[in-house]
Amino acid sequence: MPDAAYHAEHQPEKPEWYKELAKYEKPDIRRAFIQLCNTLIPLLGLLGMMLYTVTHGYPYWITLGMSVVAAGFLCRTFIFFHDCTHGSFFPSQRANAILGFLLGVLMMTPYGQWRWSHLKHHASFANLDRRGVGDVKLMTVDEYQAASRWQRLVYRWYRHPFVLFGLGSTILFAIIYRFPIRRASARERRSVWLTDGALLAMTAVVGLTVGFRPLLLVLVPVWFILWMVGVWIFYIQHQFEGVYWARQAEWDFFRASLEGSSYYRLPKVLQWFTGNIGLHHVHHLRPRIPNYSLQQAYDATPAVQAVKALTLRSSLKTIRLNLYDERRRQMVSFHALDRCEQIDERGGT
Amino acid sequence: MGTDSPLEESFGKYIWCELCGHVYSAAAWVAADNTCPNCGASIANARPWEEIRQLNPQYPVTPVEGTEYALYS
Repeated sequence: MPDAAYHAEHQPEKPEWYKELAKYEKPDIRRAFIQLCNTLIPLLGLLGMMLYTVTHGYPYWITLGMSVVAAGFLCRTFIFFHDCTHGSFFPSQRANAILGFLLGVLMMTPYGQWRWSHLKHHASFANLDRRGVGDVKLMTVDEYQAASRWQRLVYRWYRHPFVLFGLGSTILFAIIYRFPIRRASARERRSVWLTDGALLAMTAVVGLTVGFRPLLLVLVPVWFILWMVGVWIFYIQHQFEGVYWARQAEWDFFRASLEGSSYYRLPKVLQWFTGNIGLHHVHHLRPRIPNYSLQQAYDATPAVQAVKALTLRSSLKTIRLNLYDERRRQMVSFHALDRCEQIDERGGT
Repeated sequence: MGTDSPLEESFGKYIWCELCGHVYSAAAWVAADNTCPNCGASIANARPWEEIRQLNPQYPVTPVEGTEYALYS
């Protein structure tokens, strides 16, 4: 990812520890292969077992129970896909491109288009003047106050957890990703149509073999959980209490990485299923560190250990934070803003 | 008007590498066996320089070969 390196290079003082982190950027084919085996084999096995349960009259709740675990494996698979977009999973870029495309089909996510928007995200994260690419929509307090009643309503609706993580994530992955984005290049468009074609072919082959109903009964809950967790993770990475956001003129790469990207410390099992992506501050500092080296990089670098961790419990509190207050440099809730506006209307302080 | 290589036909005269951000001519990519001369990235990571210029209008029409340009400066 060029922008991380570019902006770090152009900082007046580049800390020694940042240079040291570069040594973790090396892809390791053995570790990548082990990860693929310990994730894709159980995933395919579970999907097979789920198909068996729906075609042999087992109660559907058994299938649903297995879908939670399968979604965990698929979530880990998404991180491999994400590593491929950074060219960090395998040493060979051709291998990264092929694997990325195949895994993208499995998750209904077009590799080429997603990679380009993710690259833009790495060049614009925590930057208030460059919002809107690869991130969860965030309005500032001033923008919200200047918005029409209708715009406010739409934004409030969008930020509702049920919409954002449930309905919205499904619309994003199942519908929006099926079409090229506006102003997509020919290559991005091709990646979308190829993914759609492969998805259709895969569905047709498996559906004609085992039946479309059982296939949907198996895949839909797994995808739904994956997308919900996926959007939650995208969200928590750059929207939390105390997060750094700045305008272009004062945007600082190291602050954006260390204070504008979260360290989401999850229980070890969840950390495994989410492919260490909770170490997101390390990832933004050095996007080419593969997921399997992030923990080592973290353990060896006191500067990144100094970042305050978000836990499962504290992360849940971020759901009520909806707007960024530029004056106070913090995220605030609709509720807090409404109260301030009511006080202002009454002429209070 | 024809071009010197199929790579130039697809990407234009200069190519920006998604992985390292360095710019080289299409001819330099061809000479490096269709990879980025700086980091070895494949064609899958190549971007036309014009596309980067559209995001950064202040960038020169003719970039300095071998120089790193940020996606957003």
